[in-house]
Amino acid sequence: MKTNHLRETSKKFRAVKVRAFFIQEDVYFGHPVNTIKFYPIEEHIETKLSQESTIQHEALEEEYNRGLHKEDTLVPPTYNENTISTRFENFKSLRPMVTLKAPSLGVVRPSANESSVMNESAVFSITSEVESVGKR
Amino acid sequence: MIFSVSGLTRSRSRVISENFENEITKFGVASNAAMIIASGNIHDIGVIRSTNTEISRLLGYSIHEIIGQNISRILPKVLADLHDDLMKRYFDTSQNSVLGFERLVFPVDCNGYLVPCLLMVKILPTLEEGVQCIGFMKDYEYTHDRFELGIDEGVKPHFIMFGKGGVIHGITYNIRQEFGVPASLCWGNNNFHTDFTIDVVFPELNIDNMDALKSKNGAVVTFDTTKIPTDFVINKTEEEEEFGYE
Repeated sequence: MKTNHLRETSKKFRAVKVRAFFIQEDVYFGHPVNTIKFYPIEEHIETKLSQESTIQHEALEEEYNRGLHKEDTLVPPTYNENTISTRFENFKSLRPMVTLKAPSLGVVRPSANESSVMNESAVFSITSEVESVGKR
Repeated sequence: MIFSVSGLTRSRSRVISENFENEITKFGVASNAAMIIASGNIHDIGVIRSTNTEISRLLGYSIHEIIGQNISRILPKVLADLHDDLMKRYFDTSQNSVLGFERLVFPVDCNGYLVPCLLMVKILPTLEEGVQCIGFMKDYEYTHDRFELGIDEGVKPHFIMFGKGGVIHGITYNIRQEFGVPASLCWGNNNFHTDFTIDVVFPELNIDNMDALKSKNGAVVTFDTTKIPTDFVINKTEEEEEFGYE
């Protein structure tokens, strides 16, 4: 901890471009006393950038608060026992059940080893199979 | 003709009264100006008779620390040595170069750093205390720089005071904070060596860019403190300590 602090302190000794102004040039009883004022230019830019990022961050926060942010769906759920089980129940209830009605064989349900999520082509293949069975 | 003269008189008096109102707004009781009353009498010239609590905020001294001390206590060493003579010269000759108008000055805080302040000095003669000088000191404002130079709000300027041979007499605390330069390197703060000069930190500063420095837009030069840890002895405790500045 101490070492880090010292390293940070030693970083202060550096060379930067500054905008300097000669502001006072006085002579008191033959003793000149001059004063220079300066603004570091690079740090000025850094300050501007950090201010911009702060503004952007604040804008994002506002969006979140209003529920407008696009990545809302990516917010991870809070994982506790109840939430997981509830989500699982919801998942089960939302599981797509493919029900096909064949004219000769009645209701055909997908078997357990078939994918629960069926796309159109899968539906088509089952239907065509049922039709072919009916013809036989 | 008479009308125009009286009109001129009226407008002049209005200007004077407006200036007076501005002064009251800036340095009056309602402002946060530090007030210092120093003696102008020959036997105790420059001794601080009274002050207010704003001096603690500006310079970090408590009131009892500076009452009874000479005003040179809060000045850079180069000016502290001359201040009594400057006051005496005024009382001897009445040549006024500082009284009655606002100017930028650099008193020294309790840790030896310059503090840019606006100062207004007036003479306050009383029957009991004799001649006294009253100084109103308040924070230097950066509004002019913000608008003229496009400096962001909150970005404060750094100041370096130097004298004969480029010897540095004082720096502001933000130079210590941001560039690591301690006030003890300056002439008159714990040492009187003359190695710490303006060309150590401003290697590009020379007679050629002096005109640019004096211009309205200033000059872009390099401020370099990388030689300081190798060329000067800096106390480690001094390097680490942080003061409770704003």
